[in-house]
Amino acid sequence: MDTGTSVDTVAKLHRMVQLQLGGQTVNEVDAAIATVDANINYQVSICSIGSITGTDVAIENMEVVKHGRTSGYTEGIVTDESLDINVGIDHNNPNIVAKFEDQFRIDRLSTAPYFALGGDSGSLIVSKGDNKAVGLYFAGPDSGTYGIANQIDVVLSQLQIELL
Amino acid sequence: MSDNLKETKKRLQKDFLGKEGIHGLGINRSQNAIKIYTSKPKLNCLDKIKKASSPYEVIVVEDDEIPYLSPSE
Repeated sequence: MDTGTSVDTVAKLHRMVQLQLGGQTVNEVDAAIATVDANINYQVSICSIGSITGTDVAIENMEVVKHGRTSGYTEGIVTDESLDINVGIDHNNPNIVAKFEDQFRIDRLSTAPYFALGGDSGSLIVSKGDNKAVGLYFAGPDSGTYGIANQIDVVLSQLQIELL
Repeated sequence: MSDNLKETKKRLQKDFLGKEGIHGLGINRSQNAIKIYTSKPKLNCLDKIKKASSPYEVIVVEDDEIPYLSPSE
């Protein structure tokens, strides 16, 4: 959790998808939604990206962008559109993993040091140019040179939500 | 052809994901190939994977680091 305290509360957890650990049971998403507190002002757009115009499927070589809490606005390219992957949970024990199927991978641009960093999880992955939501960033190496994202249609389906 | 590529990847995943430092399996549509993500410089099972992937090519991607749910800040 971030370093905030109860006075920093902006929302309350509403629904989550339970993560399955162990590397045997398949996960499709790592996602949750929260209800924004009534006294919190918000805009239905993403900082430095703008409004989302709909959804699309992430495909190989698609140029994407995101704005994360830690690394801010970055660009990347989809290098794998159908990735099955074991993701580590505990840096002190790399044997504890969660298995995810049908994810996609985003690599940093060669001109950038990283695509995403710790604290960026939950960032919406958006197609560059037409602002379609294509995924939800949830994992990556400490260096941030690449990121792993859930397919957005599966996120919306499992959380039973629609994009505003 | 593309769907068969996914099916081949899925079949391989059941046998090789989590083995010998393989942390991911994916596809490369433009090269019609299976992608193997590993943190090891040499895979002893590579010949076995290539045989099981046929007729598709195999691309090995050596990642310096494995992914974590919450990368360290």
